[in-house]
Amino acid sequence: MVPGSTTKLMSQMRRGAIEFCVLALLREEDRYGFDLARTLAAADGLVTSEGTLYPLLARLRQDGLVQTTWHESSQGPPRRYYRLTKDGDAALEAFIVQWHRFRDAVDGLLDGEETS
Amino acid sequence: MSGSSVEAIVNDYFERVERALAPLPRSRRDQLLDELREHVATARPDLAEDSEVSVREVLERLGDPEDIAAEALGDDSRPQGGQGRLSRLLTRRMVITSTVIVVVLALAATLVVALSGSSTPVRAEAVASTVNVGGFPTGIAVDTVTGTVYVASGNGNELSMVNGTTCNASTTSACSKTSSVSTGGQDPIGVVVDEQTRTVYAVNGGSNTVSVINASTCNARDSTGCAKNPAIVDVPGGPEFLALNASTNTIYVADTDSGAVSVIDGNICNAESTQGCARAPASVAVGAGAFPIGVDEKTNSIYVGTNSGVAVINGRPAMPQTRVAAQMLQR
Repeated sequence: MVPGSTTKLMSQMRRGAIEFCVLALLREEDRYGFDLARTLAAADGLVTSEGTLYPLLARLRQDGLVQTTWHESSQGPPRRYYRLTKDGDAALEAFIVQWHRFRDAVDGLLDGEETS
Repeated sequence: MSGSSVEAIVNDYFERVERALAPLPRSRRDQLLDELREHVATARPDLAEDSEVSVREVLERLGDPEDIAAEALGDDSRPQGGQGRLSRLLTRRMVITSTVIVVVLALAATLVVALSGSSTPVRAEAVASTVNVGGFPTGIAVDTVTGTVYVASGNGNELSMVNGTTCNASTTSACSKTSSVSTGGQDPIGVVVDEQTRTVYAVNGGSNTVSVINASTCNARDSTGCAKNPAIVDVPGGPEFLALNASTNTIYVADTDSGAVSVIDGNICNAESTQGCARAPASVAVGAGAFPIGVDEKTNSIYVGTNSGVAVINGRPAMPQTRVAAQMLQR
């Protein structure tokens, strides 16, 4: 394996997982775009360019996994909040099951290799 | 640091974002720009000082406009994009089309064989000239009054105009010269000309609209009216191609997403009189995947290709009252 491919793989994995991270962030409460962007950026650089979150949110909305509502803001104009839909919740639950199985399988093999 | 220079930095950034997002359909681009502006507006009151340095940092974190555009344009293979949707449909229908081509070729071959014994040789006409219009042309309509060929290219926001007087089968001297007119909408796909009302109708697939352009004042020879914003008819439902019944001045638009045909009354929405353009077009359900469309003016019948066959609509009585359920022809 060439060294560069790890970076590429990580960026692809990040890309794949990030939609579900957004859905997970919305599980407890509605959030607005800026809040989501800053939270994801703080989480080990899941998002490097905060602006790329917005096309992703548009995609989730197109797919019916999130919807938007306007909330009054204490400072400034009303904000667009994202809310998890029923479909979004189902998609997230399905991903969590798959992800845990995947993670455990990979961890098991990686750890086994290390100890041998 | 003065406030105006901070504003200039923000404006400059958004101009770059807008340019990078230009290939997106207008509705999606506007929405994305709105959200990005909202992001910056949210960040700014949180700053200790609305200085050039701190605003630059907000924009840096937001990221390179090209990166944002790449993420957004990556979605365009998905169903919603104008061009993406068209390509997808074209690919799906290519199977049918190529069959037709094979049949035609087979027939042509038979004809050649049949006639080869006679003294008159069968000769295919060569392509006289190729006009470069950019994009990949999806719709062409000819106005014989001004000799203008209007070409829709399935992307951007313009129709190309070719001068048919100087670019035709006999002379190709000026085929390299084209002009253009803005349709005021994204991804013009289909175009028709109503020669009687002197009106060009163009479907903007990416904006769910039909543009109404004056053929008398905006053509290959006279561009004085081209700068004027065309009247716009809203046609929700993913319009792609359209057809005209010139004897009733009615325009039929195939709405691919909603599986319907929208009917625009060209008598009250044309180059001269646009008061009827704001009215929502009548709509006839024809079934999923409405795409190619043709009109028989003699019988006032409209034929629409759908996923499950060709639907036929009775164009009588005159629009816009018609709400006749479409009949499905056997394939």
